[in-house]
Amino acid sequence: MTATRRIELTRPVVAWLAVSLLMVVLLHARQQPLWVCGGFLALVLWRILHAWRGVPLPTRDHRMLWLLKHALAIGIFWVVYRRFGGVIGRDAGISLLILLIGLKLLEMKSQREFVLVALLGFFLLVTAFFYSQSIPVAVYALACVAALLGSMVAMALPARARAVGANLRLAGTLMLQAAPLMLIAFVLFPRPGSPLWTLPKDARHAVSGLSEEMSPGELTRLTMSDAVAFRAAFSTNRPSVAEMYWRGPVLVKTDGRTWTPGEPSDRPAPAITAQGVRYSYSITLEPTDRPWIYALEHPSSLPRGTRLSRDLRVLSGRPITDRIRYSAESYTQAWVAEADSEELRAALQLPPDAHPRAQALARQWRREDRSDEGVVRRALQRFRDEPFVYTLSPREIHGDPVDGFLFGTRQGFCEHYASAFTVLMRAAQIPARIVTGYQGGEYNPVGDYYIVRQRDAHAWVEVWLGHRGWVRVDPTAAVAPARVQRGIDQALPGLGATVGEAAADLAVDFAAWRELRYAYDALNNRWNHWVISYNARRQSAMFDEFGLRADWRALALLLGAALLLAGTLLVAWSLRGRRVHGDAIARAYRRFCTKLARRGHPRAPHEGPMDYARRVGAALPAAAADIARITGLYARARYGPGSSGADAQALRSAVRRFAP
Amino acid sequence: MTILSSPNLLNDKTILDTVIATAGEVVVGKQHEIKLAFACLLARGHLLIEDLPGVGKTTLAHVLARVLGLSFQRVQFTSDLLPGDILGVSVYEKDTGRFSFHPGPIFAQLVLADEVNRATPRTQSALLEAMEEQQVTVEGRTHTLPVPFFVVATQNPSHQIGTFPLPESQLDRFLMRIELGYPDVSAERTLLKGRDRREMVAEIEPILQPKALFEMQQRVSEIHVSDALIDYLQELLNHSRRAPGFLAGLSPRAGLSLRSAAQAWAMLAGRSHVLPEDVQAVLPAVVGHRLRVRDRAHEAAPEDIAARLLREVAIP
Amino acid sequence: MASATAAGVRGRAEVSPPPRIAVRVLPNRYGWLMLLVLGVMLLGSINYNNNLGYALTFLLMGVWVMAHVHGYRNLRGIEVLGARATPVFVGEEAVFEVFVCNSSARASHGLAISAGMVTTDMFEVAAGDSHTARLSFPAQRRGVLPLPPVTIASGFPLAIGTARIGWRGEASATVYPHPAGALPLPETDDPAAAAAGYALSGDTDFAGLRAYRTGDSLRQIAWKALARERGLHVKRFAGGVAAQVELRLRDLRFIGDPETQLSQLARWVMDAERAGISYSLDLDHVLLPAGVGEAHREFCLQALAHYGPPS
Repeated sequence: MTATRRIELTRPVVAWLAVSLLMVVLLHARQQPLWVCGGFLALVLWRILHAWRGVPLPTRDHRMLWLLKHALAIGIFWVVYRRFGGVIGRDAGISLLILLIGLKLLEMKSQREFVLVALLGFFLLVTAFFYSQSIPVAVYALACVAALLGSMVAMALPARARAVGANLRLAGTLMLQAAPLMLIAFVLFPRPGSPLWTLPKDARHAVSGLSEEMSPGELTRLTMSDAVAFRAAFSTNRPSVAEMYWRGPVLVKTDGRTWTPGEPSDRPAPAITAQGVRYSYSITLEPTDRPWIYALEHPSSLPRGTRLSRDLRVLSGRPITDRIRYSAESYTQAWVAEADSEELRAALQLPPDAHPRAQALARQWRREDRSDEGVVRRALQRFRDEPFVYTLSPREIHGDPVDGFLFGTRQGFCEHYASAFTVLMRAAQIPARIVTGYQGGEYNPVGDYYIVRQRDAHAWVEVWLGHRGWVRVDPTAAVAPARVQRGIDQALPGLGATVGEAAADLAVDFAAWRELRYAYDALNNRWNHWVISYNARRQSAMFDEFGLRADWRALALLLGAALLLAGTLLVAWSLRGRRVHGDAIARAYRRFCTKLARRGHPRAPHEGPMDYARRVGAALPAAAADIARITGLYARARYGPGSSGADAQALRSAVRRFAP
Repeated sequence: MTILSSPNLLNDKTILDTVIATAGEVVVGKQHEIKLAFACLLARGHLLIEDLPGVGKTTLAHVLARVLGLSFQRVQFTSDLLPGDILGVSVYEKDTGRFSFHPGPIFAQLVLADEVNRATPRTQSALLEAMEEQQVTVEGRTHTLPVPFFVVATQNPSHQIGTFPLPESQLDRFLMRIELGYPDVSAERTLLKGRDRREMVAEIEPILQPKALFEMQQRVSEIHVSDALIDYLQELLNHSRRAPGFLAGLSPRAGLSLRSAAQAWAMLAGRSHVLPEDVQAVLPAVVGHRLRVRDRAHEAAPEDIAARLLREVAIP
Repeated sequence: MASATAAGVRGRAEVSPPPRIAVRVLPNRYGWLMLLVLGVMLLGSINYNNNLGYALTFLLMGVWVMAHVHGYRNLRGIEVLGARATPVFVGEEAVFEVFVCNSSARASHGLAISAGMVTTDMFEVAAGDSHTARLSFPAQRRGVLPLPPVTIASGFPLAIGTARIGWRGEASATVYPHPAGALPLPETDDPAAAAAGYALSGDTDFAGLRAYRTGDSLRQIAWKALARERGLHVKRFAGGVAAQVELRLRDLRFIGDPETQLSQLARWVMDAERAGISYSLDLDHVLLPAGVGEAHREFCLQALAHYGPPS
């Protein structure tokens, strides 16, 4: 039935699609192996060379190339299988998709294949969001959509394929007009609480963040990362940066090198005695894949669905796989004076033959000073007096890590100080444990919140001082007070020289630049809040606010109604009447009369065309011939027999040219 | 799919121009009226000429008959004229023992009914019925009138004494009503200097055969009337019916008459389609005797009524 | 003053706007394919709870809808003013010219006209402009070749939907019989003309005028005489009567089937016309008086084309 002609894919049309697909593949370049992207580029170049230079394509006419293509297809499967151990996983699937699109591009001859490849391009684009949903990616993806739509426009109108600007403008118009529908569907489309089917193992890429294990170099690696751990916004007043200890896993057990948490306890959290100012804040936590969340030491009110563990961590019950936002309240001046003997015993554990020199030193301090506080003071004094250096790149330690650090290199990062201090305390029979978490944060004046990054990861120590309970001691503060008071950026001025990603941030310390960065982060925060972490819970919360129950049926109904309304409005708007009434012939003649009327010779409504022509022709002898001709055409076209449009056409062009 | 005038139309125009020119040599200065008369004939309508005696009504009818080669009969209507005098009578033939029909003067292709308003209404209606039906029924037998059949009736202005002016319902049967009026100065001069009109009429050679005229009449109905023109006709009819000031609107028959008269006028111009100007040209003659204005105190001339109608209706 | 009149005229015309041509727009197979891909994208977004995935999918769904709206708008305002075709002989291509105009305020892109099995190349019509599209059909049978219902279609803007308008005009091409046959022109009845040969040369001596008779060729009319208001006359030439042949169908009864006979007559008409001989055509119930010239030839060929029921 469709009597559409077979449309040749001209060079510009092919170029459109090739460029658009390259744009999409570029988005995958960070995650995909180089050979995948390289292979795709090669296939695209082959197609381009065919279009411009006539290099043969692998069709049946070129048997060798045709075989080569099939060999390539099989080879791609094989390589992907070997590389990823399957073709079902996410990364493997995308590799395969990219290369198959490349191959499809080679055999693309008809409009049908063109559309198929373009649609696969959209599909490939959406897979990029599995890796990143950041603002730049979103913006770039929009550009890709415009390019792909532009390709389709070019294919639909091959004659105008070279009009790049016009095609992109049309694509942009379509996208702009589609935006309202998208917004409505985005907000109202019912979000399921759980995945429809099991996700492949590599569905989520590894997230950086604190683990429940600490060995030397662990935190240092984190410190290399500029990635945001979470953002915290205080509602009324905010504590000083030095007071901001965001508590994470508590490490008790050690094998002399690695620290791990103690035995999990199902006993209730100890009572917290609090004093001073209560801080309320909300935190937007990036996905960690860990079953705990962060709160300021020590929390007095927790978000719903979480609980405080025995070692005062906030447990979420399940791994945080999506960005979440929660509110909590804390007192920075708070004590925990409750511990049982088993806990205290665990906090004294040391591998028997580890750190002999440190143990000897601690035992010596114990002998000289009866009070626990005295021992603590001596240990901190030692860090302060001896030439200890706070650095991210300490010299390598040979032999016992604690002894080597305390008596040898004297260079270290918070984890070195924390573990050495804990070993010293335990050797002196003072229960001690390492607390990991984040310390401080960067204030963003634009968004009025603190950004806590992975490089703010920190380790500090809690010692049990009989009457006072667990007391926080931060040995790092003794060596580099600035680390705690003003943040890690100030504590490590040389950081930029050695740390890759942070370099730009720190080397260019212009106020304007900083301002811009804050603004961008604020934007990011909002983006994360409103776009990326919009989920079933947020959806229902929003509907609760309007007093609606957000079950999927109501949502679907609402969605349908809203789409219908918006669609109708949109269609009505874009079809708003721009049509002039009257048929083409009458319209052309009216234009002719208007032109003459401007010369002072309007036609009387009852005046016949011939009479009018005679009258005006006499008044305007110069134009008389034109007037007679046009009137003749009009009379024939309007009153003459037959459905021929030749006169109408001639009339229109004659009237257009007519200038009395 | 011919858009231009077909050769036939061109032929027709050439012939008709000749015919009109020939008639114009005898009836001087009445070009427009002659054209109207021919249009009326081509549209297969009948003509009513209303004017004072002596302005050339009879001459015009005679010229028409001569030029077209039509058989011609003239009936002078008087108050004692009977229907049979026009239609014919059945006479008993002794030889055959049967009635045979003796056709009256109406059995001619062109019948001049002179001073039709002098006859009684009964006689008038006999003529008008025959005109309408193209046939005569006498004593139960129907006799078809010749083809083409064309009646030219003349009437003196009705306020003369001893006349029976045609009722309005009968007037409708004439396609057109024209007035000849006095000739203008130069025409008068030509008339006075020229030869005897009757002589001239006798000398006229027929230019057209009746068969050719018949074919032309056929072609008139094929002249294209576009939707746009129908719109215009409807506007005219509607305006006459709706606008205040017009006493009686135009009848559907008037609309049809207007259409075929305009078609004939277009043919006279050698055009294959009707233009609004064609309608405007024939409208006064076609509707003048069918329209009345409300204001009877100032009895408006038919031309004025028609002009008013034309002025008030825009061409769509 | 002038503008008031113009407005008045326009105001009148708006009372009865011409009927709008219905534009039908439907997704084509690519449109359905795109919906399928979007469905898969939506499923993926749901499963991974990927909000940008949702956004992209919904955006493209919106684009899908808007593409159809644009497709509709692209064709709105497109009118077919009419179509025509010049007569052809059997065996030739009848070329129909279809006149399309765009009465909307924006250009219409990617239009293609199709009728029957024939489709034109893509073309576009600027706002307020018009276009003549040509569709050719092989003329296989004598008589009338009607233009099949015409469809104007466009895949604009993304080729995922097709907008269409239909037009049913009364355009047709007259198909003359194929001029063929080996018989020479029949002998003329007039011995004088026969003596003079068929050639009717322009310099033959002028011999006078005679009254016009229906059927006389326009070429022979004495226009000057007519202009002098001496009536319609025909020039006569020294040869007596102008050379004239009578082409009679009944003379051909003995050859072949009726179509062959008509072909032979068509051949004769062409030959006589080329030779400039006045000819009449007698098809038993249709009689065309003698004449010569383009118009006369057309009439004769038309008569042949429409003769009887085409076999």
